[in-house]
Amino acid sequence: MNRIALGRYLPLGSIVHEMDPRSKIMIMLFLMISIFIPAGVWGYVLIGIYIMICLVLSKLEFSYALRSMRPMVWMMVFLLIINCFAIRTGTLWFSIFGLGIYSDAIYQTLYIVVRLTLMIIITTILTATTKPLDLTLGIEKLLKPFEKIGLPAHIIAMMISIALRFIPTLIEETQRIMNAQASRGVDMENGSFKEKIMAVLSLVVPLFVSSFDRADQLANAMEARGYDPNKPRTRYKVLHMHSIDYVGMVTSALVLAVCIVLAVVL
Amino acid sequence: MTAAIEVSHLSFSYDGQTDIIKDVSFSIPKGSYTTIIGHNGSGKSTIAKLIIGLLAAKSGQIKILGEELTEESVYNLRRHIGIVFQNPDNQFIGATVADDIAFGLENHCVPQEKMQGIIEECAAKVGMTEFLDSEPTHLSGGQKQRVAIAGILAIEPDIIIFDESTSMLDPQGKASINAQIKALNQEKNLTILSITHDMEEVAQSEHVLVLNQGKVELEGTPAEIFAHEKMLKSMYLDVPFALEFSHACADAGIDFDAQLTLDGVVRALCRLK
Amino acid sequence: MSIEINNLEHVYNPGSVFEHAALKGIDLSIPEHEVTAIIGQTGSGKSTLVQHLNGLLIPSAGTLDICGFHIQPLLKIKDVKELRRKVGLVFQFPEYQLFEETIEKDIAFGPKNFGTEEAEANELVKKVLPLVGLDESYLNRSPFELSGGQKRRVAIAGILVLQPEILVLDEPTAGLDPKGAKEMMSLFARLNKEQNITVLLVTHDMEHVMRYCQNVIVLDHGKVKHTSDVKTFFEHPEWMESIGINPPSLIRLKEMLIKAGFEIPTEAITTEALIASLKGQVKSHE
Repeated sequence: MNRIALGRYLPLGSIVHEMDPRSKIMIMLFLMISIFIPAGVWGYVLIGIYIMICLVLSKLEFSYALRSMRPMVWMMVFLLIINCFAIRTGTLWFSIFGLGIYSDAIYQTLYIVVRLTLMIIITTILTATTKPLDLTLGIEKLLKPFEKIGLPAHIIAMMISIALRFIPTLIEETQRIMNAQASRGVDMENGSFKEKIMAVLSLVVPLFVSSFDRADQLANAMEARGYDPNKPRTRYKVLHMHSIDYVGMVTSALVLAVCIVLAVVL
Repeated sequence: MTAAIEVSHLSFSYDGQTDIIKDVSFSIPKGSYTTIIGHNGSGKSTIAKLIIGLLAAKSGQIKILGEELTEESVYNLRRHIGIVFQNPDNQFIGATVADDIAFGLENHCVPQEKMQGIIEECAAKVGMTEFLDSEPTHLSGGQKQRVAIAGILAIEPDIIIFDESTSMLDPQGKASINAQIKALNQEKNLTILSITHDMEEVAQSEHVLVLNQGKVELEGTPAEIFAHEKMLKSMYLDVPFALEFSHACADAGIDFDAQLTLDGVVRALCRLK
Repeated sequence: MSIEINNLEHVYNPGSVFEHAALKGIDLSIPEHEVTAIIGQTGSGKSTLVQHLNGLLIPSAGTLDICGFHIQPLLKIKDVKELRRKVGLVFQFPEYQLFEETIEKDIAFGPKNFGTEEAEANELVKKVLPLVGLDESYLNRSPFELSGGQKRRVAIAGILVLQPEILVLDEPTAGLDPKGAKEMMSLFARLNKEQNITVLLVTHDMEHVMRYCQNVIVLDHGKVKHTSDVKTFFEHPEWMESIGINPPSLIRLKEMLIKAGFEIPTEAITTEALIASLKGQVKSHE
């Protein structure tokens, strides 16, 4: 569990941590779009520099951001192999085992790797500097305008925050049920296919039963405390934009604009 | 004077056939401390859910502070009545203690600028001030129940229902919540209705309802109720240790009025010195 | 053969920021065929200790001798699977381990995992049902339509059906009403007496310790603070108070009487003994 870097909040208290989640989400969106614009090498250099500045400001270590890419490494290697087979344009650089490797294959792979790396670093910065609940609140506020066309933003946000709240509880519950079934001789690792199915069932069914129980009790508790999804509510947490938020949004929008210009000019 | 809770001829059934609650009537005066006892399946928790409007009665009437509980009035009445359930985990809604206390305030549209003050005040009342930013996974069961109480105090209710709120706690948690309940009743003059198995808690209340098979079997002060020791035992209910000890003393020839608390026993014995 | 624990240590997540030593050198000898209580506050290491008894956890250091198994660091799960049959471990709220369509299938799940043939497993189920106070009419019912107390008994039957030599129970009465709790505890007392099963009981309830247990182990911060027979234990209420546990009513009364100036001998830890010692000190008649 503790080795997974992607998606974890790190309380480092940087200037980026202090920023409004809405602006951070907007910045992320601008940068993501920029990444997908074919703005050539200079576009990626610009985005790369911008993201590096973000990384430094958020007090995250570069190695930490890279660690969150570990699960992606094999995918990238696989991609390289596929590309080597599939792309046969450009100049022939060299050949291994009789297979010619063309320049375009390398370039294409490199592009994808750079894009993925940039995207993962952006996401890591966002999740490492923003508490899950603030993120939810940010999403809710940003989706607010869409409530007019029937999107229940506050209900979606309530669902996400309750899911987040119960993740640790459910992990604990899963551990307890696994231990209880192991004490009845269940072996999650060894055994025939049929035994494995039974092992999984013996974990999943009780987990469902207890989760439904919990959901029922939670619904009662929420209703008893006056929650009604169709009635207006005030909010305890309020979001405030500061100058850094505006600076962030304007600069990231500029990056996007430059990338569009580069793409058009090229 | 209007009663805090007035239940008359209340019946309820889950399946439309067998009644879980059978023609139950009782009245709970404002500012009183009432406990409801009865073994599992006697209908205790169902009554709590009916009073808070989570279940709808089949027949009969419930009045909260003089106003009849209906589908229309339930939302407003919930400003006056709070409930603490059994499982500490499944009623903790916020990500942190402060967020959870705020939940009721948000629902009742309390202005945001007033919230911080109320949250701090209520956390202080239950001794959770230093935990305001804590997440539920780092709290004990007793602490979570304190937060639940704080969340209810925040909306300044007149009545608090405790639905077996201490049954999943360890003895320390139990004792601390019991003390908290008593203080809320005496210091804040809140009406308390507590459903419990804990006879020590029953002994500290003013008024007891004994429920058996969906009916009110006995009603009275703890002393009056525990006088029916045989009947209680036939309903699989305990009596406080102090009472059993009083009887054992009487059998051994040490005579004093039967006592419900250990303090009472010690005082009675001192008088006989 | 008693259970022998030597210098047992357990460290969770070694080498990470979450490293946590839950057990720090436990030395214990737990007698067989008796009922032993394990008490301590939340976080004292009780749960970690009992999970070593059936090999769910393997020690980080030290050894454990139980039912002919010698458990030491770096053992593999395969090596201890048979131990799980000999030591039945019932977790808190065991009703949340039920998952089969019928009670019969659910109880037979354990023996089948250990390689018992279906027919034989079903025979075992029929034998174990009356032990937990249920009759054969329950066999084909769904476990999910039972009441909370009944579900728990089915879950316990699911462990008893493995015919363990040692039964370890983690807070078996949590959340039950007084009637259910009493029935549950007398079930374990009966199993201990009639079938000679060694019972280890993790509990917060000192009334249960007083009534049903012969020995007490007090854990505190991953170490053994006291071990004694139950009589000595209740003669020292300060042991309970030192780990923040409320003594049972009788012991509290005894302490209060001593404070009020009565002379009560240390060994008076039953209602009868307490009253007998009071007799000369207060007015009484025959």
